[in-house]
Amino acid sequence: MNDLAIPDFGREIAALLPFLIVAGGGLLVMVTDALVKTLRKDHLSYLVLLVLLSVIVVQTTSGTPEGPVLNGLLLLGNFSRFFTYLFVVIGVLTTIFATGIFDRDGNYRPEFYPLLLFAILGMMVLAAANDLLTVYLGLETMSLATYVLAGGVRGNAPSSEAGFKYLMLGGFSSAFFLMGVAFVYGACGGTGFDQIAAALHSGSAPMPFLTLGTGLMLVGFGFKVAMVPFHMWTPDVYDGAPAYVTGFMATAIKAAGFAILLRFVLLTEPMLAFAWYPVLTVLAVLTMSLGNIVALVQGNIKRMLAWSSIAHAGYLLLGIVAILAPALGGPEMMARAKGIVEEGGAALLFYLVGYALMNLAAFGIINVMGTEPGVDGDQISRYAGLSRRQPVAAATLAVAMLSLAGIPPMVGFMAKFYIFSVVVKAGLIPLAIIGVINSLISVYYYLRVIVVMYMHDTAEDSYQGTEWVSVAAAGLLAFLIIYLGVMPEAFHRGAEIVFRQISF
Amino acid sequence: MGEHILSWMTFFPVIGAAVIAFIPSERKEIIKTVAAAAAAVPLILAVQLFVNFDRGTAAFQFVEHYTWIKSFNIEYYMGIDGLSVPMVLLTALLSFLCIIASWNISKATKGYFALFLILEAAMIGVFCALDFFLFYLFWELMLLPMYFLIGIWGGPRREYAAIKFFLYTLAGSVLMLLAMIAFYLNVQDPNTGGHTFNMLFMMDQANHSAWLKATDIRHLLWLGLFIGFAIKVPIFPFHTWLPDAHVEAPTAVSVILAGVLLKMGTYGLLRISYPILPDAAVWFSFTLAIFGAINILYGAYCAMAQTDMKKLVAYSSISHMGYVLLGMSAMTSAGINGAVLQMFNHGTITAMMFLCVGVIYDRAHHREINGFGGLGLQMPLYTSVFSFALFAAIGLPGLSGFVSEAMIFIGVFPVYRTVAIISALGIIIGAAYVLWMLQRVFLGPKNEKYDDLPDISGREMFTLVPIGILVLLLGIYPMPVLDLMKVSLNNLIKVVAG
Amino acid sequence: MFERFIPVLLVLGVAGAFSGVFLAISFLLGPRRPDALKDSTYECGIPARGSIQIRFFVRFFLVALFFLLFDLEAVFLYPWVVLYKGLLASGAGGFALTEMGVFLLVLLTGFLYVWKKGGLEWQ
Repeated sequence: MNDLAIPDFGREIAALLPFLIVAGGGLLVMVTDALVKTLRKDHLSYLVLLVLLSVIVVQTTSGTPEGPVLNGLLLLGNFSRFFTYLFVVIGVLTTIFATGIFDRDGNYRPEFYPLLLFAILGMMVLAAANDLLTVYLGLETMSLATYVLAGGVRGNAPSSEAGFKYLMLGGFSSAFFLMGVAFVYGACGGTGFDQIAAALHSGSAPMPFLTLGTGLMLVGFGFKVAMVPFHMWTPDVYDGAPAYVTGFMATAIKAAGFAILLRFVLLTEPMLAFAWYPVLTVLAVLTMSLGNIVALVQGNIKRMLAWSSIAHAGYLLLGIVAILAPALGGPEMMARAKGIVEEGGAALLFYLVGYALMNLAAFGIINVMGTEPGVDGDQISRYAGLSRRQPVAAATLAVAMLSLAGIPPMVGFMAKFYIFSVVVKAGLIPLAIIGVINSLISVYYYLRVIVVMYMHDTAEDSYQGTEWVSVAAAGLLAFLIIYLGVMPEAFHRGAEIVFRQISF
Repeated sequence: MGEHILSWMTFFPVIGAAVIAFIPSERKEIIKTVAAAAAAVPLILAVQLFVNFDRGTAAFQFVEHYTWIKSFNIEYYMGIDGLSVPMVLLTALLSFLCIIASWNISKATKGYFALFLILEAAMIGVFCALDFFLFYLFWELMLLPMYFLIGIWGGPRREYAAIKFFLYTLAGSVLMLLAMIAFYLNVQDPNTGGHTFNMLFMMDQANHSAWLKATDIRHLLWLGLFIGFAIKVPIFPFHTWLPDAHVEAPTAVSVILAGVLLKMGTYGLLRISYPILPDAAVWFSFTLAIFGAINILYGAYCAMAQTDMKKLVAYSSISHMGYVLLGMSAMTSAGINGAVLQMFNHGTITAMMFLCVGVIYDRAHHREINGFGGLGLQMPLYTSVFSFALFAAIGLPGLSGFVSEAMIFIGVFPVYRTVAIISALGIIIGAAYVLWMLQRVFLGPKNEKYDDLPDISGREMFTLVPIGILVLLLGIYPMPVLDLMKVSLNNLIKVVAG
Repeated sequence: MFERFIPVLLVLGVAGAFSGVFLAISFLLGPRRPDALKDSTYECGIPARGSIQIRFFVRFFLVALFFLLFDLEAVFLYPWVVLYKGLLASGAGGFALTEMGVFLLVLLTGFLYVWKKGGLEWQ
């Protein structure tokens, strides 16, 4: 017990301030909701926005200390800060989208707001984790909150199904992950990332345990990022959950999952490269191919985007594979692919941001258009003639779809370009070709939405709903999608700088 | 504007589109006027370009060179030489005339003209870009407005045609993307030692890496680029999107499609494939000649069987693009100069033909060749204009089509004699289908159904006459265009054929 | 490395063997005379009635959950109490006290929420 170092209080608090604000904010929102009886529906959302914005302000203005805190449980720095920004921005948009339609549907659930904040807290912890236990803590905080969010529409069967399914399978994957942690702990004699890295480099850790442990942990991560064959929950949950939650899950959870996957991969690179590289390669190919092929036949836009999100997880996995590849090729390959880790990492970060922009734009519009979540709505055919009734909403959705399809000059193209060029640079030309063919297949189903919106005439059951704040927010995202597609330089540079810090 | 003339030409239409976006959609006249003005500016600048272009050098002119995305060494690099200048002129001219020709578009006018202007910007951008990435970006950017223009304002099967067009072209450009990344990683910037997208550096074989010097790799890359460009041309097995797209597209879009877009395929081959991989180009040249011959004969043969006027013209485009391929394959001065001249001439002639088909379609609301007859009596002025265009398409001496086709055959004959002779059959078939159509539509007994069809209008004449004059002038004296490109193209031949 | 796990394997093996052997013995030697009464559910000698899938009133779940939650959290107090003296001696007393204070505060917030939201009312 004597090795418990007494931390420097001032530094710890300053470093943890963003986390504390989100956690405290969540509690505050909860208590306000319980105690103040005169709240109007949108009052809580202002409080949430205030909390989230203050995180941004605190993080931007105060020079938060870097390096390990809480006895090395968390590692703070550009990487965690980058993801905090991303999660907070996604949170802000989700709050706007949700509040916009709470008014209309009459299914206002004040629990949504604290749960959203707790989910964001979990993600922030995940991105900053420096110890397998903190990883688990973040993972569970995030997941438990999102289980409830997904099932958040009371009395609605698909939503309940979504929540329940997500809970059951999520619990399953957590068990796998914990089992993996146990094995890795057994092999390395510690759960801290530094201890694991030291054990790996000294070569003292027994390989079979490590292989098993990392494999089991990959299952856990794979579940969160919807990697084939752990993707089965995705379509049902994305479809059943209300659209604003789906948008949040598709962007923030995926980003959090890849944040920790990236750190984990870099941490255990030599180990993972030799044991799991072939598996990851095959799974990346399967993930994108299956996602794209099944998305082709979906008539429900949320299910379609669910499969598309699986496909995008596949593209992201390609980046991970590219990062691992040089380790296999021996010293001369390492020399040739110098800097590929930085480039690959930066490409992944860029992709995650771009993907968040386009998916949020899409779900922002879907959220406004849908009638009741899960009730035989969200059929693509109901967007018929949208371009004539609501040109801004239609144009926004069109930009999002084109960006998801990877058509220039949208950010989706630049993101894919970065990933594929890293893959080619790593010498994995066949993989790049498969990726490119996949993105070609995907164009078809994304375009179908545009066809229906722009080329079909308004039908009787076409959506009529509108909510201008959400549409404006989504429109702003569409603008960003194009802006980042044309001017990606500054952002990509930033991603490289962010990344350099965590590449061991 | 003198300094950044190419950027102004490219982006002025975008500004126009942005202005149109803010005009209320009921004010259709204002929208159209703004669109015409926005398209007129590039045309005026094109004239300035034509006057100021230095015909004595093969170097790139009006160059603009800025850093754009530094982490990938992507540059905003624009410039034109003798190969691109005729294309830029053609694009500016046809875009302006097409906007005039679209005057009676009534469905979603605002969107139509905004998209048309964006299309023009992307097309000019493709012809000016000297950075491969920039080129690719413009190339893809052009797809979107085209897709919407066919898909929203097209005929009954517009959805199918639009998606087919989009997927075909995208499939091609994806191959180009992979080739582009391969070039990027294997070409060294001689100044900095880093990777580069600069086409000029790519053209210098000394900058190629050892990997890129391997013959197999070069052939593979050439093939990838070739398929990408072939879909656009379109070359025989990849052509099936073209008739569908043409039949469904509104008149002005057909004009742009046949007049400018098809040229991008052959332009890409000459701008990228030939100088970057000259040895592979030589190795493939005979295959290219065969493809050219197949295009000529197959296109002409299919045209003969068509009963829809627009489809007939579409297949004739395939046939005429075959001449371009044939000329390019020869690698002789006459052949390549003829090929580029044919690109320009086909752009003008086919534009006339499509505009003429549009005129009759606006009146009769169908394009069945057999549904007309004796129109010569009813619409004499129209008949003479259309006949003029058709004769130009056959290659009647004195009109521009003849000059370029003759040059191509002169260029090819000494190199691939048999192929040239077989291809020449295409001219005969061409004359056959054109004259047969002429006979069925304009001659013979009058069809009473069309007794009250008004003759061609002043606005329609305004779109046709300038092109007609150009066709006639270049048929008699082609030097203004040949002078523009001669030096650059001869330099290209020196690079490729040694 | 692996030698260290041999005892574990041994224990596993012995446990498996034992249970297997006893199951096998009773299966082989035991007399079997089944009747309806023997096949029915055994419930302290009282005849079983109705389905076992009774639907509980949902409040029971709530109360059980709340109890579990707060009870479990209270368990965390024990190690803290045990260690507190040591911490005090090493000069970390204030730190430990604050930590526990924060913990209890969070717990109380949850309690307040449950209370005010009507989670503790039976109706």
